[in-house]
Amino acid sequence: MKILVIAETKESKLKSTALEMISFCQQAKIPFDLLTLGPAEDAHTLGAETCIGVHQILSARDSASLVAQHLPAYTLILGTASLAGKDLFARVSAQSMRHLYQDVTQLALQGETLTITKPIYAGKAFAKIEVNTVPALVTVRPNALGVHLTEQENTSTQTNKSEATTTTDREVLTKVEQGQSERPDLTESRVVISGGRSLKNSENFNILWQLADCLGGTVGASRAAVDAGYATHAMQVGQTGKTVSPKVYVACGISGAIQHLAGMKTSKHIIAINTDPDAPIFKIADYGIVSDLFELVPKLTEKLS
Amino acid sequence: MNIAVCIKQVPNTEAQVILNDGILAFSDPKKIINPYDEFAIEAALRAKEQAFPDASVTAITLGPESATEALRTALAMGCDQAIHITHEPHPGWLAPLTVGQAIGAALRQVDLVFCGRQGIDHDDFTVPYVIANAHQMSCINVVKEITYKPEEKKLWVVRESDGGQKEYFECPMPAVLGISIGLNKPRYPSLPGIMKAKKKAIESLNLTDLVSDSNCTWIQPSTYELPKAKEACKMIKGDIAEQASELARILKEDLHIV
Repeated sequence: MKILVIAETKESKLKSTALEMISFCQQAKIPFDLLTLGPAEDAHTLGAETCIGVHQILSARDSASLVAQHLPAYTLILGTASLAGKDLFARVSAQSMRHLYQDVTQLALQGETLTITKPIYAGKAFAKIEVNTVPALVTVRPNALGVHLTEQENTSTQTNKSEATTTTDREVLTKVEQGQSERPDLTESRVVISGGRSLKNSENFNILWQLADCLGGTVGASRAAVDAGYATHAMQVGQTGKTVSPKVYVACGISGAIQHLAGMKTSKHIIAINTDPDAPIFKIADYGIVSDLFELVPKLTEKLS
Repeated sequence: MNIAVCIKQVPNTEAQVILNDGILAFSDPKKIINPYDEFAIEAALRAKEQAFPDASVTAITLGPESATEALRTALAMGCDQAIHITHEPHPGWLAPLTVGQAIGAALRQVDLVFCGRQGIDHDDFTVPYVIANAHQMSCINVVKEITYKPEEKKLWVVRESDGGQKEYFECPMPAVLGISIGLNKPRYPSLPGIMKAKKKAIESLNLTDLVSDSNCTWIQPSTYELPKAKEACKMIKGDIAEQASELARILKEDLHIV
């Protein structure tokens, strides 16, 4: 029994999503290898038996072929349910005809039986599924497993460079434009400050950005705010937008439509700020403030900075 | 020139999930077209209108009897014909590999396939890739922009990735594109469109004719759970200054976020 962890890196460091998967392997005491598909073949060992790196940056299609090639040696292949991770794993699943479970929030591996819990209907319910078809492919939702590393660098780790083949007969990536900021990605951020239609316009979202920057977080929006043109669809939290589970979610002027709650319900701590004391958002919030966000949020930012 | 658009009927996004003796149900029985798929239908129709005037657009779905309604809507929006893959009722759902194989087998000759980026029911994000693999097609998901180069049998496609990153692709046809919200504005079916749709053909195929029994995998969860009920919300009282101070204290001392 062995796990292959596909680790995402940023600026030559393992992302926290990778540390979560490593923590899982360490806690379950299951040996694992680490495959990094980052630009630098960084030897991030962290208890892995083997660290597999690649010489060059590969396309998603070629990365998938590489993973598919390694797949038969493992019981389970773990990756991140980011847009890049889901794209990669879907390609591996299609190429290898192995079943894939995306966006998993809990998993346990006993013998050859893998049990996973997966949100369905954007988290309105959870399905517990026993998977008997190994090797299985699983992407894990960021922040779902948590980071609790038990070991540091393993000195006996071997580092292998995998030889990858490249193909160019299908889609070719010609250019990449980085997203705006040093700010964390919405789905991976520890803190999310979200605004609803009561923000009234896109400029007013600045007061949310100021609070987010002060807490090292990022900003989300309700579908109503996106439909009204105050925020981009990339910021939308909910069933037809992004599903987030940060440590702290602050809902500002969001009443709490069912499809919005589905996208943020699994956040660890939910703080709701709304002028309407009967807003449904208070039913799922841990802390509630009946107040005008235009007064409260700047004051809070001031107290925190 | 054949264009296909894959659609799925899903529970209404505003419906609440109810659990009765371990069986899953919805507060609103109404079903809708998967919201991402509406953008895929619009993209398929625009591909025909703007780049491939001779193309025929086929809407395809896999699902129960009621999924015919979704196909009728697609036909009313302007699709030329439809395929309905039916299956025996089952308490679980089909694995995305099986769905992709079935649709791949049903689409015999195809140059462009549009799908929604994912179903809002199980968020699998996998079916487009499996269809592409069945026909050795290019595949790009979470598409935000498309430019057609019909004379070169090529597309220029922009995909959104993490953190708002934009990825630009040169993509030879045949290709499968997974469409995200915001690519276009889906049209409403017109009244003449609805009338015409009633006369358009819906071909019926059976899952068992497309995928062998050994390749047909159903996902049957052992249990369903609803999210844990929250303890009562702790309301922070006082004037604005007091509320702000208390919330700042909670963030620092209780949640250790600062």
